[in-house]
Amino acid sequence: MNTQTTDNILEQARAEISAAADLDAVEACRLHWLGRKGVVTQQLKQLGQLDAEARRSAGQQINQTKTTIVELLEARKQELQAAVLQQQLEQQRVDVSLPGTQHFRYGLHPVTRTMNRMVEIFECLGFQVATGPEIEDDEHNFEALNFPAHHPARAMHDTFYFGDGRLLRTHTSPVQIRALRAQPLPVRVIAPGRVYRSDSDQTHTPMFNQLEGLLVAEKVTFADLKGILQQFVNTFFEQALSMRLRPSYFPFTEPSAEVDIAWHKDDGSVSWLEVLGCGMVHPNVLENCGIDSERYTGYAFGMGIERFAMLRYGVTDLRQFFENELSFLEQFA
Amino acid sequence: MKFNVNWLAEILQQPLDAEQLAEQLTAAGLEVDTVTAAAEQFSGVVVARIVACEQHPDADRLQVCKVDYGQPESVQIVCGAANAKPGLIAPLAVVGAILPGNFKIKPAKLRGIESQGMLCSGKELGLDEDGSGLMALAEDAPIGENLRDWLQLDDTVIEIDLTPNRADCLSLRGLAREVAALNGKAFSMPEIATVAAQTNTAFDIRIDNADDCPRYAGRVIEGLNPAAVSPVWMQERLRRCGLRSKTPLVDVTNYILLEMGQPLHAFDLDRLKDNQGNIPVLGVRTAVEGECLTLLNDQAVKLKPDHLIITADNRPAAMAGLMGGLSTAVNDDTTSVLLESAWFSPHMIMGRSRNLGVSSDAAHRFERGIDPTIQCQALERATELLVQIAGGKAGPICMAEQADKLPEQSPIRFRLTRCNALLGLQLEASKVTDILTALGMYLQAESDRVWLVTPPAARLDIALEVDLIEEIARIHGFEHIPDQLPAGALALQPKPERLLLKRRLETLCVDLGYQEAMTYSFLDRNWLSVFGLADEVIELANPISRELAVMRPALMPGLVTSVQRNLRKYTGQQRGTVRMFELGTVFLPDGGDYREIQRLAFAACGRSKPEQWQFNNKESALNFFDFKGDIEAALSYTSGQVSFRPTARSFLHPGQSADILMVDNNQASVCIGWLGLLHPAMRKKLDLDSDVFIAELQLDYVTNTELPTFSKTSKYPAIRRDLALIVPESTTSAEALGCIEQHAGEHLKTAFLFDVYTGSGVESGYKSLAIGLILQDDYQTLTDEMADKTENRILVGLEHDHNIRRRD
Repeated sequence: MNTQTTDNILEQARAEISAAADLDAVEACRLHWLGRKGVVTQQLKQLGQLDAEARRSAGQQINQTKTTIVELLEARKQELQAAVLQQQLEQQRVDVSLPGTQHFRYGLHPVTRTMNRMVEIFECLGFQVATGPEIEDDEHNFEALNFPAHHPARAMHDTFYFGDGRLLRTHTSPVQIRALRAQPLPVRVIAPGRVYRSDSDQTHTPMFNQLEGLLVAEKVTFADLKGILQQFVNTFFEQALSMRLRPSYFPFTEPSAEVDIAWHKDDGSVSWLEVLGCGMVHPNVLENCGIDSERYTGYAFGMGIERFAMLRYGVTDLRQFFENELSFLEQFA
Repeated sequence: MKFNVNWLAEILQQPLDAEQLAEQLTAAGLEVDTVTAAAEQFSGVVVARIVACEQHPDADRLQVCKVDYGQPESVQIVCGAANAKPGLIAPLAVVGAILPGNFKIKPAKLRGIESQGMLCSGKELGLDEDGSGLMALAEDAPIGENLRDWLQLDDTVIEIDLTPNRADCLSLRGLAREVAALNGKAFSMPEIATVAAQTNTAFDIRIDNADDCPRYAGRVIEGLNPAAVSPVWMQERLRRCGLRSKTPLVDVTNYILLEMGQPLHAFDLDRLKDNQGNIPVLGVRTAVEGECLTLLNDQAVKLKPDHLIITADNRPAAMAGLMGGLSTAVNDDTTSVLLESAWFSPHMIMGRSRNLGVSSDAAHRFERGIDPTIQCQALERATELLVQIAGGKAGPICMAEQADKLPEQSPIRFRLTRCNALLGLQLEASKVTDILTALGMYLQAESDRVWLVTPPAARLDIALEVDLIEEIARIHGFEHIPDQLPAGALALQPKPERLLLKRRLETLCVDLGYQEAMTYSFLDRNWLSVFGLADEVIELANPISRELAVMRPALMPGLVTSVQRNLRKYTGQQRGTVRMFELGTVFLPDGGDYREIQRLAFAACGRSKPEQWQFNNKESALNFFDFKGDIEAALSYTSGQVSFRPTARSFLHPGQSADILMVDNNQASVCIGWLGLLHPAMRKKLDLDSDVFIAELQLDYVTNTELPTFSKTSKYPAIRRDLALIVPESTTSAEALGCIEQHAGEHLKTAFLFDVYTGSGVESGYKSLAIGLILQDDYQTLTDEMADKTENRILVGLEHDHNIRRRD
């Protein structure tokens, strides 16, 4: 055995390994050169026939050759593995611009969305949601709220009646009566819900939603009412809006006011828009609920939820809220 | 209430700026609706008289007029008006005049004849709707005077929307008091002259219901000139206040209504008299059942005991405060009149005009309450004006009254501290007394901070201290009340964690791919009967239409309407797919009572996923289990055990519908809703293009959840065993799973179905179910032997209870 032989072996092995086309071929190479019956193994076995000096030098050579072949095999293996991976990756390439799996994306009704926002704002101020039936009696809807029978103020409420004299509530104000009679003072409630009036045109639907607010405690003032409404309006619309109160008349509040906000229209003009009604709870209402009107005062306000939704989202026709057309509703998702 | 500013200024004896006045009124709670010019802009129009008329030689309908307009030379005008005749006084637009609409008057030739201007109709000047002929001006109109000056057309009309409490402002004199107070000006109402009786024609009055009519006054005026015409100033004032001029008699009663707020009624005396020519006794009483009266608008009214009527010798002659009877009404030929001026209690008038569909200016005022002190003054003022215009001789004022039944303003105790406390102000005593005095209140000091305040007679809306406080706030100006930030004791409110928040549920439904809908609470009975739901409903007595006449006993019919509409109209990307939910109240009769129940309903059709490249149409068509999965997801937060049982509801597919049951706190099984495919026959009937799945649930069961309680998790590994079972077709998967849970023992954590198979290899009449079992022990690692034991127990139980075998 001589250097020539080991060099030959190495050369042949190098050529064979680099020609190995896949991992199986690399394994075959390994077996051919390094396997139990492989060329290098055979050479090692033959070392015993040499004298000590030659054995050491040949052994070194052969071992070096073996190490080199192992390295070559490993390198080739990695090379091929990388190529396989590369190919695999190439095969797995997708058009990332294709849409992902689509889900339906719908939303809450804009009125619910608006109502939820209002409730959230008032809940931060400690108001609790109160409810009442939509089919009411005359006592809660009118009498206890200081609307005498046949009073012209009732004409402002086109009322739906049932055969037995009960009615569909024309406002959320009857919840005031229910809350004042049921809850201990101080009372601090909001009452969102459906109300009904027999009226139908572009600006009226026979059903709409209101949010009522009521606070009764000691030492509540008209200035408190102005303060909370200004805060509410600013918070709801997320901007500082000019607001004005105009004296008005509701049988269940005294003084009563209508609230206008200065609204900036798309054309740049500003006009006063009526957004809600409010006032100090009428002493007769408190007395009707068994509350000492000398000791306790309070304020109440009521707003049309659709009105706020229209302003907030730029809806122009009230009736669209109840037509339930997806082309309309899906815009608020 | 519509009025012209010049009239108000005349009563106040001070000039008024219309824009400023409008702002002031709105700020004071007398909301201004419109501010308009009394007349449109025009110039160069003068008062002129037609001197002579000749037929136009070439046109049948035209006349050639010689017109005197106060200049040395008359002008020639070609005119097509039928009423053009010599002597007529009419407006003339001279050459150079500009009429409304920027219409310039130039010299013209009409069919060859020159015309130096244009004679005008009221319509052409924007003063009147009447364009049928020339606007006839009064005999005494000054020829040549500028029409605008003569008619004082540079005036503004303001319309205010009065709240029902402010009846006192339904007259010019009432408005004057208000405006004076707003400006802090001292003001005394113009005096009303009395007119002495010139005849002694009197009549008897008999009041049966003094509570409803504590004062009834009247006066006879005879010998009126039926040809008389109301003066232009009166016609103009009426016009600007929205009333048309008619006869002087009608005009005067309307004028008093506007000026003083007292409705007057005029009976034609000759038609009122009996056969012998005597004036009957005028009575005031409530009607008796069976009595009838034809009103002057020709409406025949069946009178009722809650109608107050005026009688002539006990026969109905007028509905008090509402409208007179036809048979005694005045007309163009009336020469003698009996004028009525009364005070009727608002309670007796309220609602009547609404119920009868008869609206009148009189009823509008009476039902809000008129000044109880002015009945005789109104008669005096009317007499003065009527005699001035139409001549005639007045008799004495005849009156019956029971003064103690008239509303009287009693003093109200007013405390400055209370006022300031309620308004959040620190007003001085002088400020408050100034405001109250300016409003015509009489003040008597009890101390330097407390007064006894008597409001003026017309302010029937003021009865309590808080009413006075409102007046202070109003006149002081709401804008001067500060904004105060919320203060005071804030208590936290109860907030049960156990309840699934409605907010969370809404979000869940949206995330499941449903759009929230909001449908009307009332709908068409016929629509309900399509679903067999029309039997137990609550009906409105006065629905707005048949389509909105009964309260919904379920959410589903309204939701199906929305689906139907969208299937027809929706053209968006997801066309053909509609997925909606609604959360709302339904209304059910409950014995003699009503029940309101919160429900949650779903409707879906089309695809289970949006149309997209990854799923073909067939795969994504919504099926029963897609829909049921959504319903189960909505129910997944409830604490109760939910199960599904085949149901038979007429509007649902019998094979693809189920009642949803829940075990309630009392261990009873309650039906909390249903779901299913709309019956194919219904689908056909409703002309729907698609299979529609619907469900409706009771909300309170859906939101009823349990507070989570921690239990220790096992740290030992779990074992999974899969069972392939041969199950008789009639046994449901729920029964099989139930049986497994019943027999498994403590190691079974979960059993779940992962395959259902029928077909080759499975005997007919059977199905194969593949069920996964997750087994685990809390204190030790499960051995195969332990798992085998559990599995065997299960298999024995299945075989025994349901004849279910393991698949070989």
